[in-house]
Amino acid sequence: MAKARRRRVRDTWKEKQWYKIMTPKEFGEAEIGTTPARDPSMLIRRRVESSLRELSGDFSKQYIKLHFQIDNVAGDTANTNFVGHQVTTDYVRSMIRRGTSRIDAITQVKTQDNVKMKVHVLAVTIKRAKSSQQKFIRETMERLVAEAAVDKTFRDLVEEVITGKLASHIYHEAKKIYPLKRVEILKTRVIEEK
Amino acid sequence: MADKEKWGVANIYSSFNNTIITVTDLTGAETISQWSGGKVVRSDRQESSPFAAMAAATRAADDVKEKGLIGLHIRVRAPGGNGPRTPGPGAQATIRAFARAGIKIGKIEDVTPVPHDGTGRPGGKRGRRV
Repeated sequence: MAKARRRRVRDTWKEKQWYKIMTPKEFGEAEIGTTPARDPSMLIRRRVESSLRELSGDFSKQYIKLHFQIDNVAGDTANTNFVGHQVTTDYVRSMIRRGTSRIDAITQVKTQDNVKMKVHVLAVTIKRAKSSQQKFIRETMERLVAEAAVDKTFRDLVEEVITGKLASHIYHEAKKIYPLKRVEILKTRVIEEK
Repeated sequence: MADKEKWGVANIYSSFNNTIITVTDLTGAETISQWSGGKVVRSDRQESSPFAAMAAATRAADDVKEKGLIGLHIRVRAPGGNGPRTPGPGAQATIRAFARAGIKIGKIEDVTPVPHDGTGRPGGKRGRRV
């Protein structure tokens, strides 16, 4: 019985074909990897994770993970959409120390081309900040993210987030309230596409 | 990455009671091989031992090679939640066994689920009384 079942498993494996997973246009249509499937329709909605280092070759960007989701298949290549990014937990942990404040701001924004996104910003202060200062910093961060999203397309916003432009802009603005060590955009997530 | 180089992901769940290795493709949708410490040893208390993890990993490595993958990214996981956050004794042995079996190791990541504020740990105020 066990033997028969094992043989059947082998057969389905042989039926499977390998498909190349490509990044979307914004990321240069590079190949991330391969995935097997029996039928191309089974590929849709699969998610791949890739670090920014693999795509850009920049070693300092190793801590950023990008998430892509397959949305259509053409021949043996599967094309993906960007669905979010995340900073690795160990990197976040290394930023946060004792005697400092961690300020998180999670905002839901809508870009110019009607893509709903959630953006999670983290600011780490040099010394402990009072809660009123923290509140003010949080409000500023939320405002800046919303402002950045309003007049940009989805593609531009993603680029700004990933290159760190948005983070440094927030850093320079929020620094005026209380000295900051770092500002990082921890997470983005696409909630609803047009 | 070259055309013929196929990579996968090894999801390693390592607790103090067992080590479970699930090798999948990059998306995590297709399972390539599934092995655990309990599949290789007989007694329950050895399930989490480094030896059991090593034996399971070498067998998983055989499956992986047979199916044509050359490298694996590693995602290590401890029980997490309200349990221990550090991986058990089998995690390290597994990665080592993979490397010994001639499989390339990509990035290694800790994916232990950590609650932002979850339920309390079992045991009550006075701790576990044995």
